[in-house]
Amino acid sequence: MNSWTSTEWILLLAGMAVVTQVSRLMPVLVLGKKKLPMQFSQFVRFVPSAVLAAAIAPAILLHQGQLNMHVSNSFLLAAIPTLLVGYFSKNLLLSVAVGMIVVTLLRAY
Amino acid sequence: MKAHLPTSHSSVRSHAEILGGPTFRKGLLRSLPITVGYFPIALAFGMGAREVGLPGWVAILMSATTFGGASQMVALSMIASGQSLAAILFAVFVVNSRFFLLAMGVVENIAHWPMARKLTFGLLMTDEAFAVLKAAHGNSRRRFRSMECLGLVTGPVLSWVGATAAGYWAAERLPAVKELGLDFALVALLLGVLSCQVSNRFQFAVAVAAALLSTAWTLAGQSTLAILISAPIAPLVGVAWERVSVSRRAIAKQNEIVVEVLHE
Repeated sequence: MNSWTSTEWILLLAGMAVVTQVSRLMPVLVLGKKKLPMQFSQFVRFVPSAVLAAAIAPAILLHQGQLNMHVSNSFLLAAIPTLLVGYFSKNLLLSVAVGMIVVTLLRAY
Repeated sequence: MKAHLPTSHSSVRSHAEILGGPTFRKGLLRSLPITVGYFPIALAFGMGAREVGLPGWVAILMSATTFGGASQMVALSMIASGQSLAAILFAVFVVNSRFFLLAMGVVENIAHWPMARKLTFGLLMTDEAFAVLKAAHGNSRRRFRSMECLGLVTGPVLSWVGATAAGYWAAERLPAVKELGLDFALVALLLGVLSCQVSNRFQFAVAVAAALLSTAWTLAGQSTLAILISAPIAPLVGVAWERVSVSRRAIAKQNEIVVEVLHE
């Protein structure tokens, strides 16, 4: 259990909000209606795929800092149906539901 | 409000009428998968916050003001392991700096909005809302309708804050909830969004490159830098491959289609 004071909690909340919202708002406030160069637009089209894949891959492929490509890796196994259902149905909720059901089943058996 | 803004006709209507309007409701409806998907994650966050010893108001306000799942989970684990305030803020900044790239991705689509709506949307934007918008509009420079986008981000934030409170409340009462695969919920959500996002072989190549880079960085012990390094490098694979296999005109067309979304 931690022993933070009310002031420290408030500093944490304010600090987290500021460092997060600066990233969210800066492009909106600074760039405004300026046109972006074509190369930049092309680059930006690929950013979401990159960010999402970079955020997910270590969570699926690694276990306690080690590469785990074994069938005992329930996240890796569940990732396959989640991706396939999402790709073919383009239905976010369905693919999330399938993924969570598969993980729960894999742990039960 | 400046009278010459192109959207001035909508500011004539009352606020309540706009918020309850069909365009806003359409956005809310489209947010449903995100809204439902956030619920178990925020529930898990609320439960974790109670375990770590956060006061209830801190957990709920953190969800409302930071509104970023990965960074909140990171903050929680750092508080639990007794790290300093400065270290936590730095980690949160690193994790959430990807929002800068996401916001860059919609800046052109929302350039024509009134400033108040831009700010509201900016504050509430998430990876998932971004991906849903870009998937629906084909990554073009089409203008987004402001009320539909605001509807799209309203459902998720309400669900996120509400479920944080519910999780905090339930932490001691329903210990079994933890065993329902909730730790996979965030991964499943991101996977679902990614699979809806990957629309062609160039996007697929970028996703594979980012996954490999980020895994390699994490294996090298640099997990905080994994996203930050991979996010700007991996898209170059798609840029280069698209350049050599598709004409410049096709790329420009992909980038520059500006279509006013039709009224329903």
